[in-house]
Amino acid sequence: MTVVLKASAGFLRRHPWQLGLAVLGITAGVAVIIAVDLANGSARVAFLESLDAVTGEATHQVVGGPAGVDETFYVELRTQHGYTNLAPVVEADVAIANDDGNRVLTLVGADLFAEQALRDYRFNLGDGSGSFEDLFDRFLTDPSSVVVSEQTASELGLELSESFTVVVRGREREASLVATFADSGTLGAYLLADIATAQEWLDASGRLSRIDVRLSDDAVASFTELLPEGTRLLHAAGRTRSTLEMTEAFMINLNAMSLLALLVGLFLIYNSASFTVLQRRPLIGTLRALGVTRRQVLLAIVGEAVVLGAIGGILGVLLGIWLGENLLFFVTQSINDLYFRVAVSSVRLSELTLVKGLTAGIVAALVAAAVPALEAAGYPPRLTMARSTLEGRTGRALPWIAAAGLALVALAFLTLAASETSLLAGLVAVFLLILGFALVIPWIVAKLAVLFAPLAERLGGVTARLAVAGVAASLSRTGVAVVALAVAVSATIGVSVMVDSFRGSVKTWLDRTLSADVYFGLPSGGIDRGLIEAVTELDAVEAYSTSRRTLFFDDGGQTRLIVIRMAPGGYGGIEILDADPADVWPRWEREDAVLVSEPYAYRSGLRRDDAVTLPTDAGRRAFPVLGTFQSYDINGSGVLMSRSVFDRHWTDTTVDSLGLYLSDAALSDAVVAEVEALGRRFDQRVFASSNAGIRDLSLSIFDRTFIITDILYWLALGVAIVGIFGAMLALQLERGRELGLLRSLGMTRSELSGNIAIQTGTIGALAGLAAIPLGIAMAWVLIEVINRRAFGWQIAMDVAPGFVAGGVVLAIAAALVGGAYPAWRAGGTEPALAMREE
Amino acid sequence: MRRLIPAVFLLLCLSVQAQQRSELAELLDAGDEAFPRAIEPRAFSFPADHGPHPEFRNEWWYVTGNLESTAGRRFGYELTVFRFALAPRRSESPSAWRSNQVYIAHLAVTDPEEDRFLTDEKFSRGAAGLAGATAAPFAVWIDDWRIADRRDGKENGDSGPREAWSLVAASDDFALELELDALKPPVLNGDAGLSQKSDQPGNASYYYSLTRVATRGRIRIGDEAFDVAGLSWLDREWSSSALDRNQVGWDWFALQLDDGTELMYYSLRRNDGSEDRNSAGTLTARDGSAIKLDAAAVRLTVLDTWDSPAGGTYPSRWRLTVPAERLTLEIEPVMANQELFTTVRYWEGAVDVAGTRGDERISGRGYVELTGYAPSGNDE
Repeated sequence: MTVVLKASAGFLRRHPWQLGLAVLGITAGVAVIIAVDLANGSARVAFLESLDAVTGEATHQVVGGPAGVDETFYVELRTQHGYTNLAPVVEADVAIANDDGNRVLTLVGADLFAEQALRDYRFNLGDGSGSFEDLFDRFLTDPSSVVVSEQTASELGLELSESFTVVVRGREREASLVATFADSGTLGAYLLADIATAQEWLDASGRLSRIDVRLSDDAVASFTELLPEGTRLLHAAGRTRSTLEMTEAFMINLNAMSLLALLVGLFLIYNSASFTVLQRRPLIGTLRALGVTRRQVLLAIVGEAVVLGAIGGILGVLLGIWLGENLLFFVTQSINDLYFRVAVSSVRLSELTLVKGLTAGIVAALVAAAVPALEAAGYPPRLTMARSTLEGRTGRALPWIAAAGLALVALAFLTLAASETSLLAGLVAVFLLILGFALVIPWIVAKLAVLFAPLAERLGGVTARLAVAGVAASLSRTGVAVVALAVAVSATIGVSVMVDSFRGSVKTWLDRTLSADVYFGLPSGGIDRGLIEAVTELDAVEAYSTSRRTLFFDDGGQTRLIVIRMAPGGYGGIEILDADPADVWPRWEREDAVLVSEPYAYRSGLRRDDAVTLPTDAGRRAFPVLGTFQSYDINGSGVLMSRSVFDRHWTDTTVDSLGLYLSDAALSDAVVAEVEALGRRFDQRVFASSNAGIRDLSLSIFDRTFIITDILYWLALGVAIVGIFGAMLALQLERGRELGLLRSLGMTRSELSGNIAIQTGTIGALAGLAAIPLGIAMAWVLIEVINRRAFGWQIAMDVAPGFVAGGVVLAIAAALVGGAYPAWRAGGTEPALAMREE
Repeated sequence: MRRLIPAVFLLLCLSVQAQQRSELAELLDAGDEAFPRAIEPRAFSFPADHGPHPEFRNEWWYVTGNLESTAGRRFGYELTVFRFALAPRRSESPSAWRSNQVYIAHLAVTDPEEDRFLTDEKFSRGAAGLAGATAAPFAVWIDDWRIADRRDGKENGDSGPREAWSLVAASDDFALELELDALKPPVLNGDAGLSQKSDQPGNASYYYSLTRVATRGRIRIGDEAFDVAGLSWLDREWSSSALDRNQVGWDWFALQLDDGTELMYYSLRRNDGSEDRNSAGTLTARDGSAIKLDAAAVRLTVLDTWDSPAGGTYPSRWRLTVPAERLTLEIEPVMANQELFTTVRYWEGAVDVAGTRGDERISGRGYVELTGYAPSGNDE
């Protein structure tokens, strides 16, 4: 065995490139997996921990309608019914202005006396005493006292006891930082104030956002009997779950992207592993002749793979942590843009992630080395197979491999057909599709190369013909690199087409939905009545719409109710997908009925003529569904209700935003300025914008969301380039004698380099061409299956030729970049030296 | 959980832990000017003065009692409500939660037969109806712990002209539901109700007591309920500043004797171990008339001590003599461990009294409060 090990080590020492590439392949694949896992996991853990800290020991929550819960119920619970494990909460989003614009935090108005029963907030008061009496004292005596996390404080440049401005419901409020949360990590998204302060700031005297309760299972029934009309008791965990569920599709998609990178990495490892085996054919033959058994050869190669996998895995984990820290920012930003407030202070390393990374590395190395290892173990002693034999064998196997690939593609579509809405099944199908295509690609490339060889001769002479024909002839070397490149390029085509189609649909939808000329509103709602009146009386304003968004939590999930007072011409802004608008709109205004958004309908399995049950002030009530409307609202949980219907069932006069229809759209900018000036007069800092401004903002958030997707597929492409580099280098090393011969036949340095460059360029072009069908198929699956299953969206697929052509160009460029050094090196081949080598 | 609790609130009233003395002194001095002080005697008026005096910094309603079940089983109980003003005035606010007042309550039941001492504690802001006190009709409450006029404000109801209250408080493991009927009018302690606590003028409280309150009702411990009857004692005190920095604690006695008289005495201890000369008491005669006792008139000797399992040594048996009255009393706890591990650690428990007045044998029951003997350990 020592002989085998020595031989192994000696070989790898003499071929550092092979060694390096194998490790690099594993490292890159593992790093991307780790990075995405860490970024997702950290955001998720941060959210859960902050929610845990904020939920504390509460098992349930009493929630009400849009206006919350009457505080007298809370007082009754304590003073008349003897419940003590409960705490009132007044909650809303508020903004703190800093250099980068507004930092939005969740204001939590709490009664610190009641909090003790449920939560374990800890504070730093900064005076070294760590005493709480100061905090109670300040909370009760100084209405401006607030607490934020240390991280938030330092990000906003706030010192303890410093005053700053908080924008609450558009009004500027003076706050004074009296303490920081001792556990900054979990409460970074929160701003804690006394409950009285929160009520004052929110103009919500007498109302609570919710009551947190700790109830034993036995106590739930008797507690429920006490609930006043219009309030409900929810499981605290249910609310956490439903909030987190919203992000699940987002996170699954990111994980899928990271798997794609590993898949590409896997090809690369396979590539490197096969090379190390193939190049050692003579060595293995000799060893076998020396009495080394098949099993020992097999073990040696497998052992080598495990060692390489472990080294690559460890390096991958390290690189992944670094990458994850950088990805985290984008993931957090997307979650904040789209879902909920989360502040992530640092990457959280879980053992599971590390184990996952190492295992992925080793398993990938094993899988990749298994086939070559078995093959090598099968070599008869002393026989060194001729390359021609090998190529011949590869050539004969290609159609069979392609057939297996087609079977996998078929299986992918079967999976799609068999699974109805499962996102996971959709992703499995995507990977089957990729694997299937990957197996077909070498066959396509071989056919294409044969097809193009005469063409190449006509264009570039014998050198070109040699180069192109060489592609087909060397598939046992280059095939896997070609596949890796093709898969990476097809992913860029697929994702680009998907994102572009998606963006197009969103843009069309935005253009249609934003039918008013100017919009203005407050992030947390509550526009001053007087301000509304003043704005709607402006000369330029011909009509206006109002909207109010409110979120109902239920044990089954959450429902966003969008209440609209439609402007006379505003109905066209909403596209009804499955009913006649002329019939629906009058009923929607008159009857106690609603429209539901397409994603909401998809998620909750609702159809026209079903009903949505909503908790009105007078108890739960079913509202018939008149139809579904198109919406790309990411939270995807929209029920659209007319204001007049809403006012019949809820006592909540809040208006969050207004749409203004102007006599002349050209007046938009002037009206925006006027609205902002009026806002200042009513002491409300409103956000006003022309519809173009809103559209641009929405699209920029959209683009921001896909930054991370971009990053991931560039990573996959990077891995593929490394693969090409390795393949070409190995090929060139192996062809040393052939190249030497060509040189001695009079081929110049640059001609030889050109030959190699043409070959790599051809490989790139062929990979690019092969990637087109896979890319388009992937785009289709992403649009029709993954997005639909993840978010419920219908996106119109639009294949922009630019992306397809771009994909091919990208493939060629990647191949040329990867092949540049090998080509340059080939040019330097010394004829005599190379010929003598073997 | 309890670490959130502002220990200092309690320190304000429950005397002082030696190691936290300076902190207390600072608190007592800080911003004091805005709170009125008890400097000279005032006219008391009832029932108005049963209600709160929110302009003063602190105030309490302190009810203790010795009860017996119909089967003769002995119980002691304590329900105390403290009020603290964190600032002289409440800031204007539309929110009902805005308050400058904090309420804290302690509840305890002594069950010597089972050697059990059960306690609980509550905190609340004095706002939104969660906790508070009113004069007419009288009520003081935190959550569902409540002492209130049970005649619903009707002054000449069935129960006669004296205080007729109800007291209700329930913890997870035990509960009290009692009716309290005062047998004597309020007794003004000190100088017509002005009770000097240290040398400095203004370090005093307004202090009156209901020394003999007939009590009946029900005590529940776990699943057991007992119909009980006996006597209770109410101490009412409010001030803005009381102790000085050299005073470390006090021993307070409220004794109801079987000859129809009552004795209250508080012995203030200085940090050198000596008795402060501002220690004082009140003897209440059968007819409700009161005699003030100053420190020189009373001799208090500790006969035994008890080591708390949690550390600290408390006196646990005393001889109290009032030579001028020829009164000699031996006072002994009904059980040793009646220590409260509330925010501040202190001992407050039921006691038996036996002794002589002149040649007559005399006995009685009462309550003793001992503060400043053990570190509160509430910093964690």
